[in-house]
Amino acid sequence: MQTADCPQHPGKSLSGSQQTWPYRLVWAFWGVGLATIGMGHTVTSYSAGMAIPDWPSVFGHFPFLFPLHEWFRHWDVFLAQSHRLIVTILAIFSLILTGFFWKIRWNPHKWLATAVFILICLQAALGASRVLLGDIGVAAIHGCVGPLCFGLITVLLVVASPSYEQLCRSHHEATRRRWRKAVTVALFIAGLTYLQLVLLAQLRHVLPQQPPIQALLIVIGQGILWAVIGMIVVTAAMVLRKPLCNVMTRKFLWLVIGLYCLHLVLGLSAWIVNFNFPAWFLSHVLAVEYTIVQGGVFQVIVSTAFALVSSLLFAASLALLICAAVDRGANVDSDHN
Amino acid sequence: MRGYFFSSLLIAVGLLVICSCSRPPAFRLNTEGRDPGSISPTQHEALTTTLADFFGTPDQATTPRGVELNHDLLHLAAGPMGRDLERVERGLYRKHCANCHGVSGDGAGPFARLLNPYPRDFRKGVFKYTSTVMGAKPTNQDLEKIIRQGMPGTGMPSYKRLPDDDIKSLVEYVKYLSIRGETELYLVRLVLDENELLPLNRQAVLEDGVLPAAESWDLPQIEPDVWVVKPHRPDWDDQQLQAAIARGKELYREPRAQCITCHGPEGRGDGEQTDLYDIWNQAKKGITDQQTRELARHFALPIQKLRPRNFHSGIFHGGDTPEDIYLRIHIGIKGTPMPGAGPAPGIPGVLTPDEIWDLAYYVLSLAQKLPTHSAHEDSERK
Repeated sequence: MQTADCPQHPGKSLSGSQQTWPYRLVWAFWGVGLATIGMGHTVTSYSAGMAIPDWPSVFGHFPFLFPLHEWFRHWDVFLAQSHRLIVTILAIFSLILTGFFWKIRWNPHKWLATAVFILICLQAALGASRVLLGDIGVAAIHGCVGPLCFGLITVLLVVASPSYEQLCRSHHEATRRRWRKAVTVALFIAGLTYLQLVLLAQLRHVLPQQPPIQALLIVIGQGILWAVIGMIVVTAAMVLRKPLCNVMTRKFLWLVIGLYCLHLVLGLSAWIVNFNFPAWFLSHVLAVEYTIVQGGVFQVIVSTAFALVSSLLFAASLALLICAAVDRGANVDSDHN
Repeated sequence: MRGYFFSSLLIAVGLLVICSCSRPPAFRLNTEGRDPGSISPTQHEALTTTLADFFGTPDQATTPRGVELNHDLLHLAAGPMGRDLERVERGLYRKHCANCHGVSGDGAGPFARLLNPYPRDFRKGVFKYTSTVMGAKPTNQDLEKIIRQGMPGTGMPSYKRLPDDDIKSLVEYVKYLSIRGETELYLVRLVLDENELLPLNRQAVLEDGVLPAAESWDLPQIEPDVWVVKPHRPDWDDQQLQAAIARGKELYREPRAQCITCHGPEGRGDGEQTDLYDIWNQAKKGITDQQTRELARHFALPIQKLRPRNFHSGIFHGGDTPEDIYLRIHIGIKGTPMPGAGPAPGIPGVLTPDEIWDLAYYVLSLAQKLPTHSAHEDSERK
């Protein structure tokens, strides 16, 4: 049976069941968060953000009493209404979880849960402003805050995990210099993946009057970021290699590498399903007869998956950062020892 | 504590919303590559207010009397995107088209720079792939077809998933932008080149600028026999088809057909003529490279060369049926150096309809896209 220190009273151990059931609760919360962000990205892919023109009512109905047949009549209305309902569930869940962590006085869980709740409230207010003002600029900010919120939920999940407790208590031979390097690369990965998310949000919520050069610069910026993140991920793989770091950190590193590769493939695919193959590719490399189908299943799935993997990559890089940073305690201890 | 939290949250949201709020989109004045500094504020004001009086704004599209557009369809496409409280979806143009074609229909939307070829600029009233003779506007069916099937090998997607009414609405809005654009060009030349006295005489602008632009759209609908080319595919058996391809191959190399110059001897798009531009890019080309660079500063998009079609790729932007290829050869591709070889009102063609079919089948044979069904079977399938 697993045992771990109680976050409220270090030194006092918790039984496996005492420690794992809040963790399972956070897993469920993370699941709802993933569904919410996935639904949000789908809403953007379908340009369904303004499918329901009023807020908090839905075509004049109380949100929870919106007739089912109306809900399923138009696909964009279905997406927008589902997104609103799932956000409501997430907010209620977040409130309960925050209250729970404050009640059992777990640190830093209660602060993290509070931060998540605040971000969810902010995100909901931005979503409402987007509808009431009908402004796509607000939608772009909404698109930037969403992944931040999901990233924080992921951090809460990592911190609540039993493996994290073990990681906090583990000691290894790493030096302080190596630890600094590890934290720095993890910090860069998290920062740059978020920057990429911000750029992606600008592309997915483009203002119709925006000059064409802006989108080009954003795409070039994305390309540069991809290359830089790739190089940093390779550096991270060298810094955090076995046996220099904990198994949990390595797991997140592999997750970041996997998601980065997937992100790369999906990014190129998203380009093709939205803008077609580049002209030079068609004329000189390979003749491909392909017509983009706007709003087609393939286009929506690829675009949504790309945005979702971007959010997951950011969340995974935050988890990596937390794990790399936690090694500090162990290292400092070992340095002192 | 609770009050502090909510007031902080409200301030944060307020700041974010204020910072991210954008102005409603406006029509961009088409200065046709002129230095914006050379236009006086009075001229600018006269141009924009006259156009706004006739055509409204992107959020409130209007048309002057005499312009026969369906206002119900127009209002579905105009304005910001989203459903109204009656669940009717509006702002279709901004949802489906504006990101590439721009709010003004200038082909310089936010994503235009990422595309090759650039999206169509509707303001000249010229559309490449039509069934109408050179110089005539496309029919509604031509525009519907392009919207529905998209353009393979380009960024223009197929909107086959859209309901028919939505496509009709987009067609109406494209016509509106085109009429507005042609009026704008007329006004810009009148005010900036001919130094017309201000304020402008609205009645004269309506009669000499707006109505001719609007009426040109009605001609193919009123007199289809004159303006619309109707291809009648011959019902050939395999032997006849092979003979037609052989004749087409000979014809392809003949000087009167002029195919080799751009498309090359084998149809790989590698002809001698490489300095090719459409009318939208020709305006950006100076006599010297220096002039071209200077001109580029006054256009939203840099100059882009045309690539003659490589038939072996099998990609035909305007469609790949024998009828589509026939129309491309007969009419040409408007706004590009691709000439029409068939007859037009008052102009005898360089090729007869039978010769055009021979050439069309030869081109399709290069693309390995010969029809597997006869014309009769194809029409029955449709």
